[in-house]
Amino acid sequence: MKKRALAAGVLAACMLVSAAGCGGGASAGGQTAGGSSSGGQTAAAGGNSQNAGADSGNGGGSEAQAAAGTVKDTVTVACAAEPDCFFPFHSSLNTNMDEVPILHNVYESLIKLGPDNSHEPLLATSWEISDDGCTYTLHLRDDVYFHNGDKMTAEDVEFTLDNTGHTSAGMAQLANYDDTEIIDENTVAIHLTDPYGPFLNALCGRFALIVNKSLYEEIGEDAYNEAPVGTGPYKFVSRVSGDRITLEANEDYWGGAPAIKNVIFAVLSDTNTQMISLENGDIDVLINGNIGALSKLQSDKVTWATQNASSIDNLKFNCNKGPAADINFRKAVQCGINKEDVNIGVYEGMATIGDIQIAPGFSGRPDDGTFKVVEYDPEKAKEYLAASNYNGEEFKIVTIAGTKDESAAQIIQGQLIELGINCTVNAVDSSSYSATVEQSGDFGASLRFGGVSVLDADGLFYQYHSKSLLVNGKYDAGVCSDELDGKLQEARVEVDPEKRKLIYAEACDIITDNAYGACIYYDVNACAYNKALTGVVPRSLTGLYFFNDWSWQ
Amino acid sequence: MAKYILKRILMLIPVVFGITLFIYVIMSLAPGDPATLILGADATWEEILAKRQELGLNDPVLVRYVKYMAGVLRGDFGTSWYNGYNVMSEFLSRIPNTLTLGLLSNLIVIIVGIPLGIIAAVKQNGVIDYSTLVLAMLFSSMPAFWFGLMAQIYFCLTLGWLPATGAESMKHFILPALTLASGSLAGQVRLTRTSMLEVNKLDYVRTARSKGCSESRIILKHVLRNGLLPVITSIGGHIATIVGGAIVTESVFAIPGVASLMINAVKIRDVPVVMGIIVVISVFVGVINLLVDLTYALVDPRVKLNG
Repeated sequence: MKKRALAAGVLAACMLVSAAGCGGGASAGGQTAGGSSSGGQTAAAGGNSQNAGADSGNGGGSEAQAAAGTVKDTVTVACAAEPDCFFPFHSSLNTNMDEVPILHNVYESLIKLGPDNSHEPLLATSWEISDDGCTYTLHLRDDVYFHNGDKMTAEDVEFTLDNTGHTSAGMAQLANYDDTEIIDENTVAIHLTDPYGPFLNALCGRFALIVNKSLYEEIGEDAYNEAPVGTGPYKFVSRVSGDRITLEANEDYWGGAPAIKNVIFAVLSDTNTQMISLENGDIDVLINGNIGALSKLQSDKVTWATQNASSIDNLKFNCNKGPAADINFRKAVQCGINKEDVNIGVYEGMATIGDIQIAPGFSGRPDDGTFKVVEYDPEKAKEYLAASNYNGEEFKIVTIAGTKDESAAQIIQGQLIELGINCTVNAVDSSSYSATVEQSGDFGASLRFGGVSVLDADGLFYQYHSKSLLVNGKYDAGVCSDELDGKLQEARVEVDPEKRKLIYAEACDIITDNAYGACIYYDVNACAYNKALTGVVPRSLTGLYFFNDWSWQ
Repeated sequence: MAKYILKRILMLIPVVFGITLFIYVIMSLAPGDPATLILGADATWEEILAKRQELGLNDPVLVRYVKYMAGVLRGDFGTSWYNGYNVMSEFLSRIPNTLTLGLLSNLIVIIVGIPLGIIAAVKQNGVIDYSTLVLAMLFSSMPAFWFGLMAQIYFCLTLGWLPATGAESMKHFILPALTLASGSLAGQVRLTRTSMLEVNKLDYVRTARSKGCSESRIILKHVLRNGLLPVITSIGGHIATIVGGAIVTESVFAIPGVASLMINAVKIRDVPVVMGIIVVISVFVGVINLLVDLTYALVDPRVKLNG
């Protein structure tokens, strides 16, 4: 009897301890929810904002700096997914956005994308565009050397563009590329078959990262990929599978030796682990951080900043079959989604609500007021639904499991069920997603953020031009509109920026009127960093950071 | 004995072929076309077809499987479809971390779990017995990601004693190993206790007692040795799963191990990487099971291994 009583006592004590642990966690979460809403306000006020809550403790920052001492010359950057392809235009390997931060520091593009998406000189000091928009003459720097000592010349530029401009991935960015003519050692003329509005943007991207022609011809693509050689401020040192990538400063860099001597790229896939490592000081910078987690961060050593990202969350309807083949049904969904609620649920309200499928800051985006906007209106949605042939069949939203899009789809699901739509969410892995969207067509709408590498309205071409969709034998959303195709093609070859905007306004109106999609919001890039580090600025192009702008205070 | 071992090793061959064939067929039936996934959204139909040809996806599944296994038998595990790295060298660069983590956590389970289980059995219904019961329930119901997180917050952030992530030194492995051990430790204690108690009730133990043997001799010589058989089986099971890895623990502590490599490969249908790991795991599990059976013979004289 006595023993049993003792056991009960021990058990009760354990329960108490575990309950106390849970209670502590819950109250911490409660406090930080308040902090996050203030962060949301600052983001709404301006695109590039600092988190107000985390900025308050300056004293802590200087302490950290004193503790770090004066010799600190290494920065550890954490990212969630491992970058593993280091040749900018590898012909047979999978390439993705994870590699962007490495590529743009080891290699350099001809033109640099500024923090406000402006064009700054990099390898090209200046450029002229012919009147017909088909020839770009670029003047190259004369003092640029590759990491192996070779001088960078017009030949390397010609070689790079000729290789990238004719691959399918390269053609999506360097559209209408014809060839490159070497005028002299430091001047090239790039010829296009037709004008391409955002061509300068494309020259800032990964397909204009210049590689060493003679080295490539000597060692080939795969060896180049394993030991990349560029002209950038950082040299590639090593890669440890699943763990880290090490870069070291290029002391002979033409722009001067970088302040940070070593950059270590650590792979931390777990969000909680990322936060602990930030607070702990194991990592100095976290790129592409989770905003929900960052807004709960309580550390006087770390701050974070956001920037409107280059990707768009567009709920794209399957206009070929199922309930969404009915335009009234699509219109009901279009005005039945409360986008602000989705924004609060997914981004703590920090994203910018979407109106058209072209993000703010993109060149070619029509001026506000020149295009139609669908407002949230549940009453109107019910009217549209009543006018449609909808009779309760399943409306399936397909999305990628475990992503922000899945959370967004679930919130949208709740909103649509309230309207009387039998909405389900099918969250799958990316392989099954593409099989569904591109082949089987067994879905009502798809929701997946669409990242673009060229920050221009021309991204619409790949979303909605029937040629782009059908050439691949892909199913996709099945939007086939000659009128829309015409507008997208017309805007693409228009040279005058103001005229382009007007054409894009008309194209967006076609998409809105026919309800081909409902743009939910524009994504946000968040970057958290040690306060003692200066120069860390997130940009619209996801993952684009220039480590040579950084320094320890 | 030698004949028995040889026979078991030969039996491993059909097992490995069976497992790999099963996985290969499953991988090829899963939705999603690898060629489209590798080349990305911008690829043209012609390029996708060419890529399918290059990867051999146009052959029937069985032909592909036979080609793959022919390569494996020559020691060629191929290269990743996605990033072009050699599968074996990727695997070998990660396996030390996985083995360190797995062996360390098993060591904790054995060193702490078995003695605690023995004490709990000897002092049945005592304070230690009940405490281990409660702790066992507590630990086995705590998920690894939560336990790991709490350990990180306390030992890394509050106390600052241990690093939170990475695998550079043995110090980095302390928390992950404890996290991984916590779940199976509890089970180990209970299993040892139950097994000991069962043996304790048997006739020969009563005989030994009635002969006037000392209690410590009875426990160590008679009960423990016989009670260890199920314990060895369970330890063998734990060790066999080391290579498959501790997915959650590796992820929480950012340890570059085999589990994270495999999970990523499965997600993107990187067949050579998945298959390479599966081949190694199935061989490893087979060998560990063989070792477990051999250990039975060492521990329990009643077990005879006949060929």
